[in-house]
Amino acid sequence: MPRTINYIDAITEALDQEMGRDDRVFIMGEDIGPSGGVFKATAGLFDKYGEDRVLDTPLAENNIIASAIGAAMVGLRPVPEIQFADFITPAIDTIVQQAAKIHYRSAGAYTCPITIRICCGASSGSGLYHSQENATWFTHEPGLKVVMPSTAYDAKGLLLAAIRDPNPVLYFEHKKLYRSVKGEVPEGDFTVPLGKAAVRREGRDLTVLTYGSMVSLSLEAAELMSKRGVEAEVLDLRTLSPLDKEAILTSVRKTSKCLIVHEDKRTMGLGAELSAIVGEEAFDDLDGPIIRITGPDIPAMPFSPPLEKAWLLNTEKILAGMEKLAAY
Amino acid sequence: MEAWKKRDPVLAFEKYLLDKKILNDSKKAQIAVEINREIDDAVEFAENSPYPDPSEITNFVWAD
Repeated sequence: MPRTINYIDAITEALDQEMGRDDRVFIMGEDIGPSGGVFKATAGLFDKYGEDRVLDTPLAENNIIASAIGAAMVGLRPVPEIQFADFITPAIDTIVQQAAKIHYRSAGAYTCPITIRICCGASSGSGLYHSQENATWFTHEPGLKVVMPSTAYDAKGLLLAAIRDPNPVLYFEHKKLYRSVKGEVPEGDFTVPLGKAAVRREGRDLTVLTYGSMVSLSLEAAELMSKRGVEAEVLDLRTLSPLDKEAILTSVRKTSKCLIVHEDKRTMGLGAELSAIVGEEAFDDLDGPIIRITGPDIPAMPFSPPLEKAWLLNTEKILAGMEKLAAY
Repeated sequence: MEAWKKRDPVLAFEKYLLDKKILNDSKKAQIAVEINREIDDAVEFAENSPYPDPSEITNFVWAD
Protein backbone atom coordinates (compact mmCIF):
# COMPACT_ATOMS: atom_id res chain seq x y z
CA MET A 1 0.00 0.00 0.00
CA PRO A 2 1.28 3.52 -0.65
CA ARG A 3 2.79 5.69 2.01
CA THR A 4 4.36 9.11 1.73
CA ILE A 5 8.13 9.06 1.40
CA ASN A 6 10.61 11.46 -0.09
CA TYR A 7 12.26 11.28 -3.49
CA ILE A 8 15.64 10.07 -2.25
CA ASP A 9 14.13 7.35 -0.05
CA ALA A 10 12.20 6.16 -3.08
CA ILE A 11 15.53 5.76 -4.87
CA THR A 12 17.08 3.82 -1.97
CA GLU A 13 14.02 1.60 -1.84
CA ALA A 14 14.17 0.86 -5.56
CA LEU A 15 17.85 -0.12 -5.32
CA ASP A 16 17.20 -2.27 -2.23
CA GLN A 17 14.23 -4.07 -3.72
CA GLU A 18 15.85 -4.68 -7.08
CA MET A 19 19.07 -5.98 -5.50
CA GLY A 20 16.91 -8.29 -3.41
CA ARG A 21 14.95 -9.45 -6.43
CA ASP A 22 17.81 -9.86 -8.92
CA ASP A 23 21.23 -11.22 -7.95
CA ARG A 24 22.80 -9.72 -11.05
CA VAL A 25 22.23 -6.17 -9.80
CA PHE A 26 25.09 -4.48 -8.00
CA ILE A 27 26.00 -0.87 -7.30
CA MET A 28 29.30 0.98 -7.46
CA GLY A 29 30.48 4.52 -6.98
CA GLU A 30 32.35 7.00 -4.81
CA ASP A 31 31.45 6.84 -1.11
CA ILE A 32 28.39 4.68 -1.71
CA GLY A 33 29.44 1.84 0.60
CA PRO A 34 29.62 2.21 4.38
CA SER A 35 29.13 5.98 4.03
CA GLY A 36 25.85 5.38 2.20
CA GLY A 37 26.60 8.05 -0.42
CA VAL A 38 27.19 11.77 -0.04
CA PHE A 39 23.44 12.40 0.10
CA LYS A 40 22.69 9.00 1.72
CA ALA A 41 21.00 7.59 -1.38
CA THR A 42 22.60 4.19 -0.76
CA ALA A 43 22.30 4.17 3.03
CA GLY A 44 21.99 0.70 4.54
CA LEU A 45 22.78 -1.18 1.33
CA PHE A 46 26.38 -2.02 2.22
CA ASP A 47 25.33 -3.58 5.53
CA LYS A 48 22.58 -5.55 3.83
CA TYR A 49 24.31 -6.73 0.64
CA GLY A 50 28.01 -6.60 1.49
CA GLU A 51 31.13 -5.56 -0.35
CA ASP A 52 30.60 -7.90 -3.29
CA ARG A 53 27.48 -6.02 -4.39
CA VAL A 54 28.09 -2.54 -2.99
CA LEU A 55 31.44 -1.34 -4.30
CA ASP A 56 33.24 1.76 -3.11
CA THR A 57 35.33 2.92 -6.03
CA PRO A 58 38.30 5.23 -6.41
CA LEU A 59 37.70 8.77 -7.63
CA ALA A 60 37.83 7.75 -11.29
CA GLU A 61 34.62 8.27 -13.24
CA ASN A 62 35.85 6.81 -16.52
CA ASN A 63 36.94 3.62 -14.79
CA ILE A 64 33.72 3.36 -12.78
CA ILE A 65 31.59 3.47 -15.90
CA ALA A 66 33.96 1.41 -18.06
CA SER A 67 34.02 -1.36 -15.44
CA ALA A 68 30.25 -1.27 -15.25
CA ILE A 69 29.98 -1.53 -19.04
CA GLY A 70 32.26 -4.57 -19.03
CA ALA A 71 30.19 -6.19 -16.29
CA ALA A 72 26.96 -5.47 -18.16
CA MET A 73 28.33 -7.02 -21.34
CA VAL A 74 28.94 -10.32 -19.56
CA GLY A 75 25.45 -10.48 -18.09
CA LEU A 76 25.38 -8.47 -14.88
CA ARG A 77 23.14 -5.46 -14.12
CA PRO A 78 25.39 -2.78 -12.69
CA VAL A 79 23.99 0.49 -11.37
CA PRO A 80 27.05 2.75 -11.13
CA GLU A 81 26.74 6.20 -9.63
CA ILE A 82 28.15 9.49 -10.84
CA GLN A 83 28.31 11.54 -7.66
CA PHE A 84 27.69 14.87 -9.42
CA ALA A 85 26.73 15.33 -13.08
CA ASP A 86 29.53 17.88 -13.29
CA PHE A 87 31.99 14.96 -12.96
CA ILE A 88 30.59 12.84 -15.76
CA THR A 89 32.88 14.34 -18.38
CA PRO A 90 35.79 11.90 -17.86
CA ALA A 91 33.35 9.06 -18.53
CA ILE A 92 31.74 10.49 -21.65
CA ASP A 93 34.09 8.59 -23.96
CA THR A 94 33.08 5.25 -22.56
CA ILE A 95 29.38 6.15 -22.37
CA VAL A 96 29.12 7.47 -25.91
CA GLN A 97 31.73 5.42 -27.74
CA GLN A 98 31.09 2.14 -25.92
CA ALA A 99 27.76 1.89 -24.10
CA ALA A 100 25.70 3.68 -26.75
CA LYS A 101 27.14 1.66 -29.61
CA ILE A 102 27.65 -1.88 -28.31
CA HIS A 103 24.28 -3.33 -29.26
CA TYR A 104 24.19 -1.64 -32.65
CA ARG A 105 27.75 -2.40 -33.74
CA SER A 106 27.50 -6.04 -32.65
CA ALA A 107 24.17 -6.53 -34.49
CA GLY A 108 22.58 -7.41 -31.19
CA ALA A 109 25.23 -9.95 -30.11
CA TYR A 110 26.02 -7.83 -27.05
CA THR A 111 23.81 -5.72 -24.83
CA CYS A 112 24.83 -3.12 -22.31
CA PRO A 113 22.13 -3.03 -19.63
CA ILE A 114 23.72 -0.48 -17.32
CA THR A 115 21.80 2.16 -15.40
CA ILE A 116 23.94 5.14 -14.46
CA ARG A 117 22.56 7.13 -11.53
CA ILE A 118 23.62 10.76 -11.83
CA CYS A 119 23.06 13.41 -9.17
CA CYS A 120 22.39 16.66 -11.04
CA GLY A 121 21.01 20.13 -10.92
CA ALA A 122 21.32 23.42 -9.13
CA SER A 123 20.80 23.76 -5.45
CA SER A 124 21.54 26.73 -3.24
CA GLY A 125 25.21 27.75 -3.32
CA SER A 126 26.45 24.57 -5.01
CA GLY A 127 28.75 26.44 -7.39
CA LEU A 128 30.12 25.60 -10.79
CA TYR A 129 31.00 21.92 -10.23
CA HIS A 130 28.02 20.82 -8.17
CA SER A 131 25.15 22.45 -10.09
CA GLN A 132 25.16 21.14 -13.64
CA GLU A 133 22.47 19.09 -15.31
CA ASN A 134 24.13 18.04 -18.62
CA ALA A 135 21.42 15.54 -19.54
CA THR A 136 21.15 17.03 -23.01
CA TRP A 137 24.64 15.92 -23.98
CA PHE A 138 23.32 12.36 -23.83
CA THR A 139 19.96 12.94 -25.50
CA HIS A 140 22.03 13.60 -28.61
CA GLU A 141 23.35 10.00 -28.62
CA PRO A 142 21.11 7.34 -30.15
CA GLY A 143 21.46 4.12 -28.21
CA LEU A 144 21.26 5.85 -24.82
CA LYS A 145 18.07 6.40 -22.86
CA VAL A 146 17.85 9.43 -20.57
CA VAL A 147 15.33 9.89 -17.77
CA MET A 148 14.76 12.50 -15.06
CA PRO A 149 11.96 11.89 -12.55
CA SER A 150 10.26 14.80 -10.80
CA THR A 151 8.18 12.89 -8.21
CA ALA A 152 8.94 10.30 -5.54
CA TYR A 153 6.62 7.83 -7.28
CA ASP A 154 8.49 8.20 -10.57
CA ALA A 155 11.86 8.15 -8.82
CA LYS A 156 11.17 4.58 -7.69
CA GLY A 157 9.20 3.38 -10.72
CA LEU A 158 11.55 4.82 -13.32
CA LEU A 159 14.63 3.46 -11.57
CA LEU A 160 13.17 -0.04 -11.43
CA ALA A 161 12.20 0.20 -15.11
CA ALA A 162 15.64 1.56 -16.00
CA ILE A 163 17.50 -1.29 -14.29
CA ARG A 164 15.29 -3.83 -16.06
CA ASP A 165 15.75 -2.12 -19.46
CA PRO A 166 18.30 -3.95 -21.62
CA ASN A 167 19.63 -0.62 -22.95
CA PRO A 168 22.04 1.78 -21.25
CA VAL A 169 19.96 4.26 -19.24
CA LEU A 170 21.17 7.53 -17.73
CA TYR A 171 19.01 8.17 -14.69
CA PHE A 172 19.29 11.79 -13.59
CA GLU A 173 18.19 12.51 -10.02
CA HIS A 174 17.86 16.21 -9.24
CA LYS A 175 19.55 16.99 -5.93
CA LYS A 176 17.10 19.78 -5.07
CA LEU A 177 14.26 17.26 -5.11
CA TYR A 178 15.88 14.68 -2.83
CA ARG A 179 14.19 15.72 0.39
CA SER A 180 11.93 18.55 -0.75
CA VAL A 181 9.69 16.32 -2.85
CA LYS A 182 7.52 13.76 -1.11
CA GLY A 183 4.73 11.62 -2.41
CA GLU A 184 2.74 8.44 -2.17
CA VAL A 185 4.85 5.53 -3.28
CA PRO A 186 3.69 1.90 -3.27
CA GLU A 187 5.75 -0.33 -0.99
CA GLY A 188 5.76 -3.19 -3.44
CA ASP A 189 7.07 -3.68 -6.94
CA PHE A 190 5.94 -1.41 -9.76
CA THR A 191 7.46 0.32 -12.74
CA VAL A 192 6.96 3.57 -14.62
CA PRO A 193 7.52 3.00 -18.34
CA LEU A 194 10.39 4.74 -20.06
CA GLY A 195 9.40 6.86 -23.03
CA LYS A 196 6.11 8.08 -21.55
CA ALA A 197 5.41 11.63 -20.39
CA ALA A 198 2.86 12.45 -17.65
CA VAL A 199 0.22 15.18 -17.66
CA ARG A 200 0.60 16.81 -14.25
CA ARG A 201 -2.11 19.38 -14.84
CA GLU A 202 -4.76 19.46 -17.54
CA GLY A 203 -5.54 22.69 -19.35
CA ARG A 204 -7.02 24.01 -22.57
CA ASP A 205 -5.13 27.21 -23.21
CA LEU A 206 -1.43 26.49 -23.39
CA THR A 207 0.96 23.54 -23.05
CA VAL A 208 4.04 23.60 -20.85
CA LEU A 209 6.70 21.00 -21.74
CA THR A 210 9.00 20.59 -18.78
CA TYR A 211 10.91 18.14 -16.55
CA GLY A 212 12.88 17.73 -13.36
CA SER A 213 12.99 20.61 -10.90
CA MET A 214 10.94 22.82 -13.18
CA VAL A 215 7.76 20.76 -12.93
CA SER A 216 6.71 22.11 -9.53
CA LEU A 217 7.58 25.70 -10.49
CA SER A 218 5.57 25.34 -13.71
CA LEU A 219 2.61 24.07 -11.68
CA GLU A 220 2.85 27.09 -9.36
CA ALA A 221 2.88 29.44 -12.33
CA ALA A 222 -0.07 27.55 -13.83
CA GLU A 223 -2.08 28.12 -10.64
CA LEU A 224 -1.40 31.85 -10.84
CA MET A 225 -2.46 31.91 -14.51
CA SER A 226 -5.62 30.01 -13.62
CA LYS A 227 -6.69 32.95 -11.45
CA ARG A 228 -6.60 35.05 -14.63
CA GLY A 229 -8.72 32.56 -16.50
CA VAL A 230 -5.90 30.89 -18.46
CA GLU A 231 -5.60 27.16 -17.95
CA ALA A 232 -2.14 25.74 -18.63
CA GLU A 233 -1.51 22.07 -19.26
CA VAL A 234 1.75 20.90 -17.70
CA LEU A 235 3.41 17.88 -19.30
CA ASP A 236 6.23 16.30 -17.30
CA LEU A 237 8.45 14.65 -19.92
CA ARG A 238 10.08 12.20 -17.44
CA THR A 239 12.00 10.52 -20.27
CA LEU A 240 14.19 12.99 -22.18
CA SER A 241 15.26 10.39 -24.69
CA PRO A 242 13.37 8.82 -26.36
CA LEU A 243 10.84 11.66 -26.14
CA ASP A 244 7.13 10.87 -25.89
CA LYS A 245 6.31 12.64 -29.14
CA GLU A 246 2.73 11.42 -29.10
CA ALA A 247 2.01 13.04 -25.73
CA ILE A 248 3.80 16.23 -26.73
CA LEU A 249 1.95 16.64 -30.02
CA THR A 250 -1.42 15.62 -28.55
CA SER A 251 -1.13 18.34 -25.93
CA VAL A 252 0.06 21.05 -28.31
CA ARG A 253 -2.67 20.22 -30.83
CA LYS A 254 -5.20 20.59 -28.01
CA THR A 255 -3.98 23.96 -26.71
CA SER A 256 -2.30 25.44 -29.84
CA LYS A 257 0.38 27.09 -27.72
CA CYS A 258 3.68 25.71 -26.53
CA LEU A 259 5.89 26.92 -23.71
CA ILE A 260 9.07 25.03 -22.85
CA VAL A 261 10.69 25.29 -19.42
CA HIS A 262 14.02 23.79 -18.43
CA GLU A 263 16.66 24.66 -15.83
CA ASP A 264 19.54 23.78 -18.16
CA LYS A 265 21.13 26.25 -20.57
CA ARG A 266 19.24 27.63 -23.55
CA THR A 267 21.26 27.11 -26.69
CA MET A 268 21.02 23.57 -28.05
CA GLY A 269 19.14 22.61 -24.89
CA LEU A 270 16.29 20.11 -24.95
CA GLY A 271 13.96 23.05 -25.67
CA ALA A 272 15.63 23.51 -29.03
CA GLU A 273 14.78 19.92 -30.01
CA LEU A 274 11.25 20.21 -28.64
CA SER A 275 10.76 23.44 -30.60
CA ALA A 276 11.90 21.76 -33.80
CA ILE A 277 9.58 18.79 -33.31
CA VAL A 278 6.57 20.96 -32.48
CA GLY A 279 7.36 23.44 -35.26
CA GLU A 280 7.76 20.73 -37.84
CA GLU A 281 4.94 18.39 -36.84
CA ALA A 282 2.31 20.69 -35.30
CA PHE A 283 2.83 23.80 -37.44
CA ASP A 284 -0.80 23.99 -38.55
CA ASP A 285 -2.02 23.75 -34.97
CA LEU A 286 0.01 26.61 -33.51
CA ASP A 287 -1.56 29.97 -32.65
CA GLY A 288 1.60 31.49 -31.25
CA PRO A 289 5.38 31.14 -31.25
CA ILE A 290 7.13 28.37 -29.33
CA ILE A 291 8.63 30.10 -26.31
CA ARG A 292 11.50 28.75 -24.21
CA ILE A 293 12.12 29.74 -20.61
CA THR A 294 15.51 28.32 -19.71
CA GLY A 295 18.76 28.72 -17.86
CA PRO A 296 21.12 31.25 -19.46
CA ASP A 297 24.05 30.63 -21.79
CA ILE A 298 26.67 31.25 -19.13
CA PRO A 299 29.68 28.94 -18.60
CA ALA A 300 29.48 28.48 -14.87
CA MET A 301 26.96 28.70 -12.05
CA PRO A 302 28.01 31.68 -9.94
CA PHE A 303 28.65 31.19 -6.27
CA SER A 304 27.69 34.75 -5.37
CA PRO A 305 24.06 34.59 -4.14
CA PRO A 306 22.60 37.47 -6.19
CA LEU A 307 24.25 36.11 -9.34
CA GLU A 308 23.05 32.56 -8.66
CA LYS A 309 19.54 33.91 -8.13
CA ALA A 310 19.75 35.78 -11.44
CA TRP A 311 20.78 32.54 -13.16
CA LEU A 312 18.03 30.33 -11.75
CA LEU A 313 14.45 30.12 -12.95
CA ASN A 314 11.56 30.85 -10.61
CA THR A 315 7.78 31.05 -10.73
CA GLU A 316 7.85 34.69 -11.88
CA LYS A 317 10.06 33.99 -14.90
CA ILE A 318 7.84 31.08 -15.97
CA LEU A 319 4.72 33.18 -15.41
CA ALA A 320 6.13 35.90 -17.68
CA GLY A 321 6.54 33.29 -20.43
CA MET A 322 2.98 32.09 -19.93
CA GLU A 323 1.63 35.66 -20.06
CA LYS A 324 3.53 36.40 -23.27
CA LEU A 325 2.18 33.26 -24.93
CA ALA A 326 -1.36 33.67 -23.63
CA ALA A 327 -1.53 37.11 -25.24
CA TYR A 328 -1.44 35.60 -28.76
CA MET B 1 61.72 1.58 -24.07
CA GLU B 2 63.53 -1.75 -23.68
CA ALA B 3 63.08 -1.62 -19.91
CA TRP B 4 59.32 -1.19 -20.35
CA LYS B 5 59.11 -3.97 -22.93
CA LYS B 6 60.53 -6.33 -20.31
CA ARG B 7 57.54 -5.37 -18.10
CA ASP B 8 54.88 -6.11 -20.74
CA PRO B 9 51.82 -7.17 -18.69
CA VAL B 10 50.46 -9.48 -21.41
CA LEU B 11 53.71 -11.48 -21.46
CA ALA B 12 53.92 -11.35 -17.67
CA PHE B 13 50.43 -12.83 -17.41
CA GLU B 14 51.33 -15.58 -19.86
CA LYS B 15 54.41 -16.42 -17.80
CA TYR B 16 52.27 -16.45 -14.63
CA LEU B 17 49.82 -18.92 -16.20
CA LEU B 18 52.67 -21.15 -17.41
CA ASP B 19 54.40 -21.04 -14.01
CA LYS B 20 51.17 -21.98 -12.23
CA LYS B 21 50.59 -24.78 -14.73
CA ILE B 22 47.21 -23.28 -15.65
CA LEU B 23 48.56 -23.09 -19.20
CA ASN B 24 51.02 -25.32 -20.97
CA ASP B 25 52.53 -25.17 -24.44
CA SER B 26 50.08 -27.61 -25.94
CA LYS B 27 47.04 -25.79 -24.53
CA LYS B 28 48.55 -22.54 -25.73
CA ALA B 29 48.88 -23.92 -29.26
CA GLN B 30 45.32 -25.27 -29.13
CA ILE B 31 43.93 -21.89 -28.10
CA ALA B 32 45.74 -20.24 -31.01
CA VAL B 33 44.28 -22.81 -33.44
CA GLU B 34 40.74 -22.19 -32.11
CA ILE B 35 41.09 -18.42 -32.32
CA ASN B 36 42.35 -18.57 -35.87
CA ARG B 37 39.55 -20.92 -36.85
CA GLU B 38 36.96 -18.57 -35.33
CA ILE B 39 38.42 -15.63 -37.23
CA ASP B 40 38.61 -17.57 -40.50
CA ASP B 41 35.00 -18.71 -40.10
CA ALA B 42 33.89 -15.15 -39.43
CA VAL B 43 35.74 -13.83 -42.48
CA GLU B 44 34.26 -16.56 -44.67
CA PHE B 45 30.76 -15.82 -43.36
CA ALA B 46 31.20 -12.10 -43.99
CA GLU B 47 32.63 -12.53 -47.49
CA ASN B 48 29.84 -14.92 -48.48
CA SER B 49 27.06 -12.76 -47.06
CA PRO B 50 25.12 -10.31 -49.19
CA TYR B 51 25.33 -6.61 -48.42
CA PRO B 52 22.47 -5.49 -46.15
CA ASP B 53 19.44 -3.70 -47.50
CA PRO B 54 19.63 0.04 -46.66
CA SER B 55 16.42 -0.33 -44.66
CA GLU B 56 18.43 -2.39 -42.16
CA ILE B 57 20.36 0.70 -41.04
CA THR B 58 18.06 1.21 -38.06
CA ASN B 59 18.27 -2.40 -36.87
CA PHE B 60 19.73 -2.90 -33.41
CA VAL B 61 19.66 0.75 -32.30
CA TRP B 62 17.72 -0.49 -29.26
CA ALA B 63 17.84 -3.80 -27.42
CA ASP B 64 14.39 -5.28 -26.75
